[in-house]
Amino acid sequence: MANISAIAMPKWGMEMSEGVISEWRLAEGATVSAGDDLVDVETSKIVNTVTAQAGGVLRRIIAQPGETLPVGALLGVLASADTPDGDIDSFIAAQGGGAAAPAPEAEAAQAPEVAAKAAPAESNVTPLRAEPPAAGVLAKLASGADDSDLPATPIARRLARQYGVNLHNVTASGRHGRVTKEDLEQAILAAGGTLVAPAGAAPVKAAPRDDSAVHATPVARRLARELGISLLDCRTSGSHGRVSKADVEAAEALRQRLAAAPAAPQAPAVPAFEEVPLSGMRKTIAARLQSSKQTAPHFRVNIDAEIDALLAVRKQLNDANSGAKISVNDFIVKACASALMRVPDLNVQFDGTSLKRFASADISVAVAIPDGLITPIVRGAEGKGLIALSNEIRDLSTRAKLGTLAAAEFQGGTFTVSNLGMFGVSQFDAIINPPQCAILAVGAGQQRPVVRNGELAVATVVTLSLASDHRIIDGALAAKFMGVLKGFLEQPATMLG
Amino acid sequence: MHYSPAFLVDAYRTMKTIRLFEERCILEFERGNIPGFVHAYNGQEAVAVGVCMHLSDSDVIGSTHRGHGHCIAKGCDVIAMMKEIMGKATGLCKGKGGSMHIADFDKGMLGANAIVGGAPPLCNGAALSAKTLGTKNVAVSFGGDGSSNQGTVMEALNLAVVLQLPHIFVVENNGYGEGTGARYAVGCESIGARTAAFGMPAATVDGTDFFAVYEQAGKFVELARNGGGPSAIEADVVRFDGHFIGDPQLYRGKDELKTIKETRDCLKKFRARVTGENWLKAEQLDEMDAEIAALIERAVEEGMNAPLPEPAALFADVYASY
Amino acid sequence: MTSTPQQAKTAGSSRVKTYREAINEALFQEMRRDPTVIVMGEEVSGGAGTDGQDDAYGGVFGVTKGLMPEFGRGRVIDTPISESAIIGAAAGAACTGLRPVAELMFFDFIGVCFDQIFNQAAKFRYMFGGKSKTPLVIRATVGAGWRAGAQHSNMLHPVVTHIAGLKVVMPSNAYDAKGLMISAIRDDDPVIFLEHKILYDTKCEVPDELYTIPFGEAAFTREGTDVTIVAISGMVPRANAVADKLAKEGISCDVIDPRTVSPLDVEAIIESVELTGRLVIVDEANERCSLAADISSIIAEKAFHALRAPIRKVTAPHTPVPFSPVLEDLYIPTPERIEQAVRDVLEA
Repeated sequence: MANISAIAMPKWGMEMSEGVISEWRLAEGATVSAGDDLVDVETSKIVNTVTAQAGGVLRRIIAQPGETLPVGALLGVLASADTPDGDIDSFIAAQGGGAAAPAPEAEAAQAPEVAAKAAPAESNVTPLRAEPPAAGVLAKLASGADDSDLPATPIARRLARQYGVNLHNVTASGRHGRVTKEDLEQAILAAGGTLVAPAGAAPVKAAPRDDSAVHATPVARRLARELGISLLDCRTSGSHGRVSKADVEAAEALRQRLAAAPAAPQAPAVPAFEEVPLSGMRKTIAARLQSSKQTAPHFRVNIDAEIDALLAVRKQLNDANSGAKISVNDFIVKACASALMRVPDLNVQFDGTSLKRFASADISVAVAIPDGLITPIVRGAEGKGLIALSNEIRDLSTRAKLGTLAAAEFQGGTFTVSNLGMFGVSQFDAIINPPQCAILAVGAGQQRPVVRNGELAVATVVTLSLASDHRIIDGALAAKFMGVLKGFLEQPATMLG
Repeated sequence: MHYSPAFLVDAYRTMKTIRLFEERCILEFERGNIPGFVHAYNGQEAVAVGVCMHLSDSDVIGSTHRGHGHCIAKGCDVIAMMKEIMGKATGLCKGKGGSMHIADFDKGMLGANAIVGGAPPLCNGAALSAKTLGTKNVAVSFGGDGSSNQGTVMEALNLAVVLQLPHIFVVENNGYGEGTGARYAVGCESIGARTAAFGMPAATVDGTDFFAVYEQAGKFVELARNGGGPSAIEADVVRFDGHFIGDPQLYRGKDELKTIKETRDCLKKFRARVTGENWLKAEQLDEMDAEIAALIERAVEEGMNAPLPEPAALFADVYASY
Repeated sequence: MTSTPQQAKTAGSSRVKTYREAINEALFQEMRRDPTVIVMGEEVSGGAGTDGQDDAYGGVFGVTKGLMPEFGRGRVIDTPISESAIIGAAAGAACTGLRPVAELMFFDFIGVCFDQIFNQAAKFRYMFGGKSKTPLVIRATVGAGWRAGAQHSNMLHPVVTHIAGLKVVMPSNAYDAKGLMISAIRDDDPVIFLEHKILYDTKCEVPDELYTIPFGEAAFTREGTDVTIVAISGMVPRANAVADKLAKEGISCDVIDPRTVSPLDVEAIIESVELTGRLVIVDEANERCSLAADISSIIAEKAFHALRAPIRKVTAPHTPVPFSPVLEDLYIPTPERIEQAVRDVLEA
């Protein structure tokens, strides 16, 4: 190899990282002396010529004009005329060609002592300890000469004495050749013993830990991913303080043993599942509703309303107006708006500090959309006729499902109506939409037995459930509202007044 | 030079106060009433008083671990000092400093310093302030023969010359740096001469002769006040006690203590001079002795009865603001 | 005082000796064995250049008593009061063939000679590519409790632990003091050997022969399973007393004396914490950047999941050392505070 030399892309200046081959000054086979011009290279700053470092014959041109290569890349090979081609091929192969790859498996001796020592001291998992070894295991570990002079950490010595293990049977890896607790545990495992989490230990956090920052060899990382092992649980005995494949295999072996240990308290077997990603809307709903439920002290007031009269009026209106398709819910929205005018203390917003009471009822109407719900607002509902209200609600719902609502159309509002009656739900409890202070949950209108003047009869009854924020609204107020609302629903004509 | 009776009374009173104060400290320490370390100044009174009588409250001094004498000579309250040395809440430093860190900035006393050679660099600073602000105040640092070998002191000497600071360096050579003889530890023949080599006027005086100290100090203080720069006085003194109270003083020669108390007691020499010259009567001096003894007695009594600091004092005055 | 479980069984005789005597004996024996060992400092013998006795002090705490009469003023050198010059000379001598044991009478005086320690002695080997060694020992007293005031009572071991290139040794008892001093003298790196003032008169069995104690290996002065207490230097006897008191209630503690804080036996501490899950560290240094803070950070990083309670530090407050005895007694971690910290981690 002594007579083969590489022509490499030089580094001209601090910032150069690559160059473009411009033109070779010589052809393969030309004889070269030290200092001769070989090839022109262009960088972002200059064009310059690579000169020969030594004499010889230009045996191989590797980099072609127009190629961009990084600093250090092999451009060609100089050798004596009689060097066999095979040697030159080997030389080229050995260079690795192309970009300077980091030498991965550099001598393990280079690994700083710190990293190797750090491994035994790491305790990023819930510490396990060996169960007092069973008799069969002990037989292998108990015998040996007096071990009291053997270097060991105080804890390792204490535990060994407790278990009856002779330290001569343990391979020491601690400082100054001491047997450590981990060495002892490894020895017990190797002899067939088991490890358990100590009773009363702090629970291991179940949340998945991001191990992407752990230094590991590429193979180790891939293997760990395949096996589902966190690199944080592995020793770092690889070079440069990295987790090596052997470390991952050791962690896997440990895991297998734990899984096999009968007495060990196990996490319950997890059934097959697929991870479902949360959409932005879902995350928002989750956060808002959790906050609402946790912050506002919700209380419920339920009332039943007979809506036969209302149904008749609805039919009347729909028949009289072509194109009108007023729903029961439209009536309920209108009735709520009217009731809020009578009981304005529910027509409020509270942000935790300041309370605002609004003159106008802006009713949010809950609309189910794929993967969530949204509450477009009918502003000033108290002043709108039922047909206009109905059209507006229908328009808002449509656009809600299409996802084309403007922000102002669903942000704000003073009161919400949520209706699951179309699903046959008889009654449910809703969660307040902050900063509002109340929400009405509406069930299905159902034929139910009712008692009138002591006699059984049948009527269409809808159960209404009001959830109120007890920081602002007291029971009597909520009850009053519900009474008024029931009145409007059972005698729709009163809404005209 | 003419000395008025009032001046002589003042000088004697101050020196005697220091003497009795220190002797009482030794006694009270041996009784267990004074905690920590105390380094007694008795024997060296003439230097502190001879120098400080040229200074006002706005002039500044810095002292050593052996600082009671300088404190008293500079006008610090004796009773408050005793309380401080006993670690009481009403002491001069609220009990936080103790014997080795007594200070009173109102009296221009920048503090006793437990670090040997601690005062000279700081007094350079005080002199720099005086010069910069044009106050005509001077700074005086006191140190021992031991401190003259500290690098910090030598640096301070050079800087004082380079900046022409109004700083008088007083080296009290009592022959011992702790338990090591000055003739071993100081490589040159004369500390005064070595100091002069730094570029300032220096003089050596008999530190047990009040008048010699007073006269020499007067010249150098005047020099400094008039912008003449730094100077140094090496005062040849003796200390009557150990490096610290309780020191077995094995380094003393045979009968050394007895001899120096007879022949080099600055108070005896002062008394002999003023009565011999008929400047003052012996009875006047005796009367002062009794008054001062009563003052010291009162200081000890008040000190013993003074309250100890409250726990909250531990955290007080770490910072001006934090 | 119970002997530590770590004491090696020595073949020869032993007697009860004080901490002071144990270090004195180590110096005697090493100076006899190795002619390159010298002692230097202020009053290490005392009386030089006086008409009084030679060896007037033998060290202001008596630790170097008797050395000068045996080895002469050529090997036991009284110096002027010039810390920078003393330590500088010791550092230079150390890398040119001598093994000096230099004394800084009070570690507080490190201020006057810090450059010689942190910038010179600590860095020679590293800066010179491993071509030199600096087998220097600097002995100094540390700690409060003697009413010596703010400038004579500091615990500055965190400052030197922080400096790479230095080793820091802090024995808590006479047995460890002798073994560690012998190891320090034989060590080829600069060793700061810190002797707590209040320990000088404590005593225990100390072997008469030469023996070494390796650096970086902690001693367990008490054993238990409920709480790990790490205590440093003068705090070890206090921690032991607290552990003994709590043992009567059925609370058992590991009390770990690191003996050397640089290198530190992290492994032993982690192993104990893995079993107990609870850690209290008692360190007389001021709280910020104390050894307690350092050890807390190491354990939080390397043994987090072993912990069942937050780590508790018992240190001096962020103030200078006050003079008045009642205040100084509050400054130093009291047995009550240590006990309360142990109870706190048990309740967390």
